[in-house]
Amino acid sequence: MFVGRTSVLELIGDLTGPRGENASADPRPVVVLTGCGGSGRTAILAEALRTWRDRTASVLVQPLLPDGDRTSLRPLLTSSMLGLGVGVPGYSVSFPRSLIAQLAISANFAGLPAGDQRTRLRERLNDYKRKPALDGFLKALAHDSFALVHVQIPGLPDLVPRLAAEAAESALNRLYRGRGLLRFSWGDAVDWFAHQDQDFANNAEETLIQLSARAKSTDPVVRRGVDDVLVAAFLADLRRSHARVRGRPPQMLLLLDDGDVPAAMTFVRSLLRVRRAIADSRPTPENRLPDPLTVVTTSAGPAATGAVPWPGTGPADGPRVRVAVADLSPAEVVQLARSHDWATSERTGSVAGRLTHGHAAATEFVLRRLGENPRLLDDLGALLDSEEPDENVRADRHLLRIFVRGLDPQRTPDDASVEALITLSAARTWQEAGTLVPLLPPPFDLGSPLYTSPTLWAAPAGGERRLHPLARYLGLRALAERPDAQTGWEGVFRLLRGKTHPDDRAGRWHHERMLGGRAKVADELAALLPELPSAEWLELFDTVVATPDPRVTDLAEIKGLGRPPTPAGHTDALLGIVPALERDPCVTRPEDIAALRKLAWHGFLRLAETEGVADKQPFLDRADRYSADSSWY
Amino acid sequence: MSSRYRWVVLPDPNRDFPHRWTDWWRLSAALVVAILVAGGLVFQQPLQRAFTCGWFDRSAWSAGGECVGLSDGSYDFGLDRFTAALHVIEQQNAAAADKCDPQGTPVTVGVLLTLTDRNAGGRALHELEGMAAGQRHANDTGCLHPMRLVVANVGAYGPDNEAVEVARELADDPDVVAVAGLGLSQQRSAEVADLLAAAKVPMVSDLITAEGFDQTGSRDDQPDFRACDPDITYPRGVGKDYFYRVAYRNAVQIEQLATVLPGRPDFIMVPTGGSDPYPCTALPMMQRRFGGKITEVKFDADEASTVPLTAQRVCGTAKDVEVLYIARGSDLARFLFSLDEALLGGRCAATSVTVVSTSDGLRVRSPEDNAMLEDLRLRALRSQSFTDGRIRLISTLVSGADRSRGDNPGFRDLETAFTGAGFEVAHLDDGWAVNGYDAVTTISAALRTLPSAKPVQRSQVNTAISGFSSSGQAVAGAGGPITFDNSGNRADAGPPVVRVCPPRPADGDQQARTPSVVVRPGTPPNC
Repeated sequence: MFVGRTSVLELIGDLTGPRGENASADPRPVVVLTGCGGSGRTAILAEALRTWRDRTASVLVQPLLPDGDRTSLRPLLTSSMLGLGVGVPGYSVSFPRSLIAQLAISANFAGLPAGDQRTRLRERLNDYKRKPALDGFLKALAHDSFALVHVQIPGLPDLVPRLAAEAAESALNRLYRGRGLLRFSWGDAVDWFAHQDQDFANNAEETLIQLSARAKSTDPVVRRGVDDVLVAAFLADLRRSHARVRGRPPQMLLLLDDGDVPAAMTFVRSLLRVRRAIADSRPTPENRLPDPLTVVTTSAGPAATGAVPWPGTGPADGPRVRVAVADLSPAEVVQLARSHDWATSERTGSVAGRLTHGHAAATEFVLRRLGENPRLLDDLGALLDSEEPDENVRADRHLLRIFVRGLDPQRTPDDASVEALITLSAARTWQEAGTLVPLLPPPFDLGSPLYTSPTLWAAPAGGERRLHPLARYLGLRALAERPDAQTGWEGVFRLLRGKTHPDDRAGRWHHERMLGGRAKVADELAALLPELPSAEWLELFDTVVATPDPRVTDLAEIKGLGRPPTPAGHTDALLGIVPALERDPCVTRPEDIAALRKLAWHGFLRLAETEGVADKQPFLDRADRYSADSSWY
Repeated sequence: MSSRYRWVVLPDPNRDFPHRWTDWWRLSAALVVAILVAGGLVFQQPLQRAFTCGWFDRSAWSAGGECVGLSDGSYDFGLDRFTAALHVIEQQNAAAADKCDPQGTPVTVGVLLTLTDRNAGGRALHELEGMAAGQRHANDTGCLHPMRLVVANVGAYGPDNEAVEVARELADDPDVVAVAGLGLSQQRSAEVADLLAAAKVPMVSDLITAEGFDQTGSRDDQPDFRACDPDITYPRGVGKDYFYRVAYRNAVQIEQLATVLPGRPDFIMVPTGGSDPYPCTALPMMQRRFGGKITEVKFDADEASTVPLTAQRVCGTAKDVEVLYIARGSDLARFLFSLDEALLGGRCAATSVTVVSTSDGLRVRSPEDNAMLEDLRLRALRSQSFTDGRIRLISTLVSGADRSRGDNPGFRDLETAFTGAGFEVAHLDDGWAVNGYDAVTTISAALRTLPSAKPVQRSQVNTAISGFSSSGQAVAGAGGPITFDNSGNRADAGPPVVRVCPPRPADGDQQARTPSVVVRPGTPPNC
């Protein structure tokens, strides 16, 4: 079940929809969906494919694990070409130029005199006008490409051999216009290599022969040149195919998952370079045909560098647009919960939402677990401690891995990164995390994606960059269990407390509280009660209780039973109650919550009565939040 | 989502993809429907004809609630009582050439008649049987050109003008060289005759006796058409150059009646209205011939209860009353029955009543196909007054003869053919079979004058028929020798007048016959 993400899908829809009568022919921006691991970017691509699969030529490509340093975009390009070539009825896409380039590249001109090279090229192009020869070539090409790129082509099977055969068959049919022709003509496709839509005046055949020679080079500069020619041919094929379609055809939709993979980044960069070059060339009727390619890719950050952020509504502009994939809203989580268990969905949804904060993959996981075993609703801790059978690790580790995996294009489960993330989760902000980086073992440093990732350390609504709340909570739970003195709970918070700015008493008290100095902090806070204006005091209090303490699970301890009825005693109790009530997702039992709410209400009322508090209203307002009749859950 | 179609059926060129070929289904379906509707409108008549009255058979169709059109005998127009006779025609058509000159050209003769009109009644079957017998005789010894019949049923002269449509079908058939029978004395028959004449089809009418229905509009008889409907065409004649009739026209019949019954009749019974050409032309002629100013007793033919009232009027005077009856034969039985009731009940002062009718009165001699009419007919004929002669029915023989006499050797041929075809001779009594036979035989005789080696043309047949003008060339009809005058009427002196006698009891498996005796001037007709 797919829920939410309407604005992102609408943006993709806007960028894929047909151009208006007098709309500009400029390329539509490349959309980069950014989000941390598990934020649901791939699901959005799949949903977009599902939406558009019947209405336009579309394909979803996922570059597989690159072998060694292979960063070539060619398998990706070929896969996209074959995928788009399937098209939909009435919307056919053919690729004569790309095919000519591939034929030239796969030819061997080495050691031949210049004249013979041309002859060989001509022979080769002529040979592959025959259907059986071209069919074989296309099948081999498809097979090779699909080995390196996972492709989802609407309407075609998933398994590579059949997929390759059918994609090749489809491409062949486009070139032969169904089964009408026995031979076809390359037409002006060869001549295109003379100008490449960029007003060059090269010799077409010479260009192709050189392309063949250079394609084998390992020099990145040379390879970039080859890539650009291939991408330009691909675009030229798309433009001409699109122009031939009758009616108002939508854009072709290329959904490129794992945009941080080198091959994908190379492709997008090359695409942008070629688009720029075409836009800068002298206008000709052909290179001013509308650019029909809409690319949507995903990134954990690297591939989005330099992209224009999308404000969230309205049209997108620029060559690349970055769209942050937001977490699911509480309502959307409840909606998702309904698909698992309709009857208890309201409570399930809010429990899961409080834990995951709408993190898509984690929400799905937690909802599934709660659906399987509703008793876990009262004991989320047990859920997080249970084994995840697929990966043979505990559920909380599994969830942390999802975050870590998003940082790595190879998506390997990496326990070292998980441990590092656990250490960093003690930090309230990205700034603070910087002080913890020295605790991390090599190779982690300030340049590691774990620390630099703009999606893991996102700054929602323009605030400070913070770790995703779910990752932080899970990290704190794991940190509490870590036995090591230096990188364990005590060590980390001690370090944090030590590095706190002298003026930052809130930060210092926060860390103090985490280190067990709750009574001490309470005394100091209580002492400030008569001095500070009430609102400021509450702000200070909120900063101190910003983090739940997963080590304290005893309800009596949380409630602060037995504290003296003094302002310090009340503050002490509230220092336990409020973080548990507000921040700890594992407090889920309704009766516990009701009890804590009552105590919180009582505590704030008592604080309001403290001698020397001039303005009681903020305390009364705060107490009101916990009054019995206001609906919480 | 906006519609993918313009004007509901045309695929919008800017519609969303995919553009499947199935998008064109709507348009194709709409075009097919449009073509079907247009075709249905253009070919409405043939379609209607094809799908009514015999599936995929366009020769017969539904009009005015009954089936009309053509049949070669295989189709019975949904009328069971004609099935047997039509079956005979079908068989005779198949065997037409068996006894004919092998060089002869097979020809088709249309027999145009009404099978269902109320003025025909049970006699329509007899007419058809007579025609079938005529065909049987025509294809027998001496045959040159095999004759096939195609039966054209015009129905009950309904409002749809189907008689003309049926005749058009006949005229459009190039195989049809002549038409026997033309229906009844109706304005429609005049139109049919004109249509067939325009197609140069010679026609020999068997039953039309009304004035005006000949090539000159009965000019020599000086008929008075003022009592008839205003929009009639027959006063100017019908079927110019191509129309002949074997039935004696009313003028001759009235003349014969006047010769036999010299006295002045007491009443003339006439129906109201003027739509029927038969009474509307006969009434002034009778008044004129019998001295004029005879008391007219009118009754409404559509209202049966008026008939006994007229009987009361006739009974008013204590004498031998003579009533001229020129209403339709279908009302005659009721009239006779009412007279009998009045006589037996002592409500009639008259000592006897003599009902004098033109040839339609002979209808009471033959069985009706309507159970109520047949019951009335038998009650009238078997009534005490009719049996003992207090009520007498005098009528002209429409056919000229109802049995073999000295001058009509053709009657034997008719009887031979009639029984050979399996028809009952009792059906000959009302004369319609004789007239049907004579009409077909006239055409047959014309065909026998045409050389066998050459194809037969309509105009040749017409010329041959017009050549039957003197006694030397007379056709040997069952009702006597048939010759035509210049107007196409029977040229001889006229039909005998007969008294219709009480029926004899049924004899074995034969139907009861109603005999007649010829009435001669001066001698009382005794049965």
